[in-house]
Amino acid sequence: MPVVISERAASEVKTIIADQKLEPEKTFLRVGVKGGGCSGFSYTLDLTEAKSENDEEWDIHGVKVICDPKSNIYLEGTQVDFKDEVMGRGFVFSNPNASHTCGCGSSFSV
Amino acid sequence: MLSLSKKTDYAIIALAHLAQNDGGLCSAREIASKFRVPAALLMNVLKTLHQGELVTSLRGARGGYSLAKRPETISLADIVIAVEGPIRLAQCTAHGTRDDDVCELLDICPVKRPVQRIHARLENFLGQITLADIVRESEDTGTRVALSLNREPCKPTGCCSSAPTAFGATT
Repeated sequence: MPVVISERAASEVKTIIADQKLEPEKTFLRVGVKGGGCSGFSYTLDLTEAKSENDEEWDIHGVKVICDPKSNIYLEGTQVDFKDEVMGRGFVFSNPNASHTCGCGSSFSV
Repeated sequence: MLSLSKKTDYAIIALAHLAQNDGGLCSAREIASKFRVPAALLMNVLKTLHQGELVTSLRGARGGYSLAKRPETISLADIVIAVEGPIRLAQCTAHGTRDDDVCELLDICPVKRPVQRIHARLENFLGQITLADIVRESEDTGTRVALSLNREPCKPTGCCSSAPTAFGATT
C-alpha cells in the first residue's frame, strides 16, 4: 500500500461522497501524480467511478482507494491527511520521496 | 494597496524565529544574518516589539531577545498593532478618532457602516491567527491538494484528467 490515508482524511472523503449523493460502493478515491507545477510533479486526488484494469486498489478506513502503477512509484510512503485550521483547510500530502516542494506548496520534485 | 509593511514583515519573521528557538535568546544581528534582512531595520523593529511587550531583551555580550509570551497568545493583530499602531481600514474606523482626524464625509457617507463591518471582521480575523499558527504553517512541509469530482467515465486511452468540481480547496 503506497499511500497512508488518515482517518480524518477518510472521514472527510466519506462526507463528500455522501454530500454529493455518490454511491459509496461504486466510488473510488484516485490518488495520483501528474507532470506539472513549478517543481515538476503535482498530486491528483479525484473521486471517480472509473477504475482501470491496471489500477491497484485498497480499502482504507472504509474508502476504496485506487492508484495507477506509475503514480505508485512516486507515492510510496506518502501520507494523506485532512487539515482544518485557521490558516487553511484541505487535503495535505506528505511524501518522503519528495526532495523539494515548491513555495506555493502545490507541486514537488523527486 | 492593502499590505503589510516591511517592518511588520520583518517583525513576523523575527517573532517566528524566536518562537522556534523555544525561549532561547537571539540577537538582532543573528536573526538579520539568518534571514538576510537589514540589521539596522531589524534592530528598530525588535525595539518596537520590546516596547509593545511582545519580546523581552537581555543586554550584554550574551544578551539577545526572546518572546515575552507564549506563541499561542500572540496574535497577528498584536504584531501589526505593535509595529504600525491601530489597524485602520479607513479613516472612519480609527479607534478614539480625534476631532482633527475625522473624515469629512462621515455624516453623509453611504458606505460607512459596511466599511466599519469589514474593518471589524478584518480585526477579528487578524486576532484569530496566532504566532503559533504561523510557525506551524511554516514548518508544515506537506503539499495541499484539492479533491476533484470526476463524473465522466474514463476513456479507454486516457484517464481521469477532467475535474469539474473541487473540494477542500485550500487557501
